[in-house]
Amino acid sequence: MRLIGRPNKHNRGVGSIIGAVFVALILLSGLTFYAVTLGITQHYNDTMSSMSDMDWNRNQENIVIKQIAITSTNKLNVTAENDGPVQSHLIWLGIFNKTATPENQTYQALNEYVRPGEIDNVVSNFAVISGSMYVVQLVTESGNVVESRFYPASFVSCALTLVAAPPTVYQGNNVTVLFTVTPNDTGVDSIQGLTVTLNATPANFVQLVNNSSLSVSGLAQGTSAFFWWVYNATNVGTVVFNGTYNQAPIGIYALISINVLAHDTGPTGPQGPAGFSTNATFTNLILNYPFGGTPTTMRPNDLGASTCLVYPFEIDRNITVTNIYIRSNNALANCLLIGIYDSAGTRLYVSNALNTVDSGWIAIPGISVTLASGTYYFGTTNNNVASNTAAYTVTPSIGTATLPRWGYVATSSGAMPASITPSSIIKSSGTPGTTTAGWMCYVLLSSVTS
Amino acid sequence: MVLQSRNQSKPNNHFFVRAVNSERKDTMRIVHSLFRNKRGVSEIIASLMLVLIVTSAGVIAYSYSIGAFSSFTSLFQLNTNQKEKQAQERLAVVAVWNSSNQLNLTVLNYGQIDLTIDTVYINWTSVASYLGGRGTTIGKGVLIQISFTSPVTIQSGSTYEIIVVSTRGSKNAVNWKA
Repeated sequence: MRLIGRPNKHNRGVGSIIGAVFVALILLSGLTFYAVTLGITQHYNDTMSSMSDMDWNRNQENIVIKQIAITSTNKLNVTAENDGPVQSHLIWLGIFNKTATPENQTYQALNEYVRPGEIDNVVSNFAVISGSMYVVQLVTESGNVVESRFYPASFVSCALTLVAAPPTVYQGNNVTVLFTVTPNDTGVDSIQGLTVTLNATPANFVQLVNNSSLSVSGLAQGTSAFFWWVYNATNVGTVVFNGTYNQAPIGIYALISINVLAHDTGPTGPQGPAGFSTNATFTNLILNYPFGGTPTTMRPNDLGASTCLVYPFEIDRNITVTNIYIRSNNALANCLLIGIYDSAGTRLYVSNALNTVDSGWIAIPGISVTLASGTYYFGTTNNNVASNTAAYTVTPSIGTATLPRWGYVATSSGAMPASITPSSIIKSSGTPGTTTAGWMCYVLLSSVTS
Repeated sequence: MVLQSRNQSKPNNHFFVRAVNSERKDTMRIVHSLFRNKRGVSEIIASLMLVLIVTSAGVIAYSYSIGAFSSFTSLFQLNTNQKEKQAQERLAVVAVWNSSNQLNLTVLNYGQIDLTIDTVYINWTSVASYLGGRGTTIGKGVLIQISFTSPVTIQSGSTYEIIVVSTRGSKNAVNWKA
């Protein structure tokens, strides 16, 4: 390098170059740090976006505990359904014993993935004590927690429904009793074991034929368990069924009653007695009888000679009555007259004196009375027979109730009135006797449709 | 002095002028020669000095800019990192139960990073006496139980607001009915 003399023109501007280099370095450094800052910001934004996605997923997640049951090994079987649109990852099962003092909390690690719409069963790996109050908790990886209160039946009130079909049954036939239990206690999500009971009163009036399983394991709030029993009606009368469940709170039960009627074989054989038409139909007046209860008996003396029992009935078609059958309780000669009146009270038919039979049917053949559809009255008198023989079969007392046109009119000497005044029918249960306020039951009009 | 002696030895003006001119030329030649030599040395030094000055200024400016950039970036990164960590934290109180005045909280970490519980408030009153769980690092997806003596008296049937705060400042509040 030359130290003395004029510097080479190539050496000129070295300072500027150096300065420019430094400026370039500074700019490069600035750019580098800018890039680093940009990277940090981008990472931060990515993280925020990731957390935002996580929060969105958390909000979308919807795990529902559908049912909880105790297994035969006293483990908890939790049925959970994913009702949300995203997959859920169950990571903890919590079981809290609320009965224990202090409360006992146990957590079990899970690794269950539940897809949308999928139902998953989780069985605890530790035993629980039946009869204790538990809170069951499922925790998801997204941080959602779903709880279910799983209590014994003794802490839960349920809506009960008891139905008997048919409500009126003939002796010897079966009746089915349906029982529905629906937990509606908002404080409890699921019942542990539930065992139902059904008691019949009087117990000897029905006999159990068959029944469904009477226990369910775990019943969620709002869901119903159905139970059924089939009973055979063995005795005539009213049977009350009382349905409830074991350990039910006081006052939680349901009642239903059925009427068991005496077995009715009707006139024997399809051809029936003489004059019984093969194309005949029966109009059973007893079907109009609105009360249940056990048919009872009545004596001619109870009926009295000055009373004509009147019972209204309706037919919905034109018929020609060809036979009449009346159930009786005891044999007694000439103790019964029957008559049919139209809606104006005009007598359309009157029988001869009839003999009652012992626990059988009084058959009155050879009738030909045409009845158009409409309202009619059926009348009975004792034909002036004084007897304490319980000859008639009648409906049970109706107590103090008063029924429209269910009553009697006056007559004399036990004769069938030539006509009656419907508006004058005494609608009282008091006569002819407080214990025999009913009316002849099992009256069949055998007829042909005209 | 030299000039004066020369003027005295040459009284003729013409001669004197010529002599003076001649002498001035010599002097100028010498001065010029000297000056010419001095100018070459100054350019190199000046160049070196300029290079040094520019280099020094560049180093200073670069160092300052690097420091400033670095400081800014570090601060930015620190702040961003803190915010990011806090944003990644998620915690939830999944269960509360008590035994007399001792409260037990079950806390779930469902965030993306580990966290540590720092403070618990009951009805806006800070818990002073912890029996366990505080300061323990909770991993992702892990439950931890925090036990402490309630700073307020727990009455059955009453509702209390419980706030759990992490060391990074994340919190979760629940209303708990005793």
